[in-house]
Amino acid sequence: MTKIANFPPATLEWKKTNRGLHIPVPEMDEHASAPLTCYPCKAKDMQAIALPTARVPQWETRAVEKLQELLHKYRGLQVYLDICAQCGACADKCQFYLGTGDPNNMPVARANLLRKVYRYYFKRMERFAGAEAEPFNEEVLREWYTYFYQCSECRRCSVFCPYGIDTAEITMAAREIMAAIGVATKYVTEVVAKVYERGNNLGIPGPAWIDNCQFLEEELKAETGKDIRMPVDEVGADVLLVMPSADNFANTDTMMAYGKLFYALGVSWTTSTYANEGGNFGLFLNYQNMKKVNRRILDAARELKVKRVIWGECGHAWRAAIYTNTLNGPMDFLDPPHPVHICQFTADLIQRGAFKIDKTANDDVLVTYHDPCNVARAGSLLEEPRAMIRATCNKFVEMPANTIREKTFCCGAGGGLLTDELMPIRMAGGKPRAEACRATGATYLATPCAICKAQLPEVMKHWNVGVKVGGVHDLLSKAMIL
Amino acid sequence: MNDAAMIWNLFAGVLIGLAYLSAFAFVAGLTLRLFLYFKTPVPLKIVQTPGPKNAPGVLARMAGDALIFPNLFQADKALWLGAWLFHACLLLIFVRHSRYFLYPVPELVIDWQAISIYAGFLFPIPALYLLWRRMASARVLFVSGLPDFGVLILLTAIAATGMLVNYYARAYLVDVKAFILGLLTLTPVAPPQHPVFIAHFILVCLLLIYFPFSKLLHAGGIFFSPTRNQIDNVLYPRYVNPWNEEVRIDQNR
Amino acid sequence: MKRFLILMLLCITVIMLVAGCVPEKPVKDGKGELAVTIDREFTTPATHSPLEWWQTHHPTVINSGDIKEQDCLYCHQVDRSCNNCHGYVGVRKIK
Repeated sequence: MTKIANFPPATLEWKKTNRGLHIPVPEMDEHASAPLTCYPCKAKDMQAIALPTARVPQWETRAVEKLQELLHKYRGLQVYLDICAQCGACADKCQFYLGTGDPNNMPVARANLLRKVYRYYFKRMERFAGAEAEPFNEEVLREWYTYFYQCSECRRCSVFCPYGIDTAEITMAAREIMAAIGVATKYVTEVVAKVYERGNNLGIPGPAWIDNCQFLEEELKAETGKDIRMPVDEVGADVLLVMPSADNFANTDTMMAYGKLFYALGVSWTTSTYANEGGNFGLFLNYQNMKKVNRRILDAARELKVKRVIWGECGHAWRAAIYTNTLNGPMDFLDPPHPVHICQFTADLIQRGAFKIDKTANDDVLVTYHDPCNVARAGSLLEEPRAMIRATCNKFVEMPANTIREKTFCCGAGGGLLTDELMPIRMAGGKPRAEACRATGATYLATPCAICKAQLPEVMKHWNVGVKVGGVHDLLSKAMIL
Repeated sequence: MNDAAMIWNLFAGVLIGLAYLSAFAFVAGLTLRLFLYFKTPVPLKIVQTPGPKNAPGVLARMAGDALIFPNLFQADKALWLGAWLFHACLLLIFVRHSRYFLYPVPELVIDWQAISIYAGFLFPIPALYLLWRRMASARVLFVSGLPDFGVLILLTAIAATGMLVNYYARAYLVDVKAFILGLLTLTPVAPPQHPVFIAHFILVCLLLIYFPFSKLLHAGGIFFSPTRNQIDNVLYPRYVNPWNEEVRIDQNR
Repeated sequence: MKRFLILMLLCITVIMLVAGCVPEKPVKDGKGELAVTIDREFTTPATHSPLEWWQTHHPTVINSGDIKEQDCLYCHQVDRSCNNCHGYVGVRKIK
């Protein structure tokens, strides 16, 4: 237990070279992060999200049945369980292995936790040949619960795998199997239950949301002297904006930036108290809940008779949003193209000269950009946020090449890990991003993701990197002349 | 017929049986497995960024994956070199061996003999490197199971016996070819009485039997990897998940 | 499964068809189009005995330079007693 405070080993030296960031790989330290598990789910949350409220009878058999079902539903899972050559190229690419040194945090070893169960029940020949195989039991379940909730499903490993094996697919499958037998974490289930109850991940009630919006209107009035509106539940608006609910509450600069943006364009917009959350924690649990959370957004869009839905600065919101058409489509009642991310929307308008921008307004900061794993690697948005930053700032510096774009390091808290009991894991997983940021000497870290915005300030504080974390639209807001 | 001849005939029969068994296991096993991959649905697009925007782009990406392993190059240069040489040698050796299976033998195969022959000499170097790496790196050792070593050792043994048959304990090629062609045309004849050749042959049969049940499936499976074989057009047109409708979302409240 | 069986049957049919095109292996004084024949008027050199050894190892001996390819052609007729075997196993043909 004492180990937890120590990792990652402080002796490792991170430095910038001309080929990128030199990433030191820690020695293996078995079971280093084994004691770190999430709090288990509560029965009332599980009931709210249509999952078993307690461990189901014959859960071992049920889990194997679920695995078989998923094997027939997901080609990725079936192929990836079969074809991994165990080459270990991914081993030193995961921020959680780099941070903790626990070998089960190597992507290949993490996948092997599921693979050994798969071999036991479905690959007789591999068992005969002496490959590691184990029946599903309490011990294995404990490993799954520990290590599949120390994976942020960021997919960095897949970029380095010769077959593109996506460990996120395997983690998602393992979590779905566990959910089916009544095993899940408090954090993720609670968040999904809150969405069904209150419409957003933070559980902000409708009246409080409206209050906050009015408060922000007053702030904007004081700042700009203009009547910039923060409309809520307005039927017939052109745009429904689904942002992470944290923007309304914590990252208010970003929220105010949205307000200024639409004010400058003269576009009518609204938020919805039924679906005031873009983030989709169903993604970290199972397909059914992902679909249901996503469904709320389209229902709100129909109810408010909007022409477009735009997703705000949020990571897993975008990862789920790009599936909207598949999950709950067709979306043909909206204007194409859909879905749209606010960075795509804004970058396009900036390019067309829709705003008057004074870049010197941001001269007080040296800006760098953190690619959120879900926006960049899962959502293909590499250029749009960068175009926005270049258009609004004079001083922009990229982090080392091996830590950005599709090779970006996750902030360390994606995939349902943004919870206090995992703090040591989060700080360990955030280390590569902190070091990459330190290497630039930047004073402002822009990122379009609410999870990153919650996690990175703590990471930067923990690793003594003096940088302010904020949204990409915050920069636009500062530089925009109304 | 004397005892020795009888035992030999029996052995030849067993060997021919093994050959057909392994061929069946390989062909049926691999076909069924790849067919399983083919018919398993892909519910969501999970293209690896930056993804190809059209079909030719996907073809180029997959050809690249199969021929030059670009992802591995990004990950680990030494491993990439070892793995690439390993596979390039296997390919050349395989091409060279087609002269034992084909009649008439294509001119190209005969012309390539000169290059292919060096692949046999080179092969043990990457093979032993990969074996050494599995033991020398603590991380790779941690994830290595018995079959990971087994397959490498089996391939090295096949290469070693193959080199012996070719250089030090030569087998009469006409008999070898007649044996192989006999098997292929379902009119089997006795194999040449050559212990090293028979050892080589048995090892290959074992490899073929093990192939469709093992990680060696990456040979065909790589083409079914959804992150690599999809077009990056997730936003438009609508991508349909065949079992999406089965998922009920109104189960609670 | 049914489709798979049909596929297998198809493969076997193809194999049978191909089988018809494959000639008998070349054997000295044997039958078939590839049979090796050598004019009787020449006496067999001592190096050629035992015949099995010589058949297997003549490339090594020739490559080592003790006997030259030209020497073979004194008795061996290229089409009837060299290239029928060489073609069968896919070795470079003698010109």
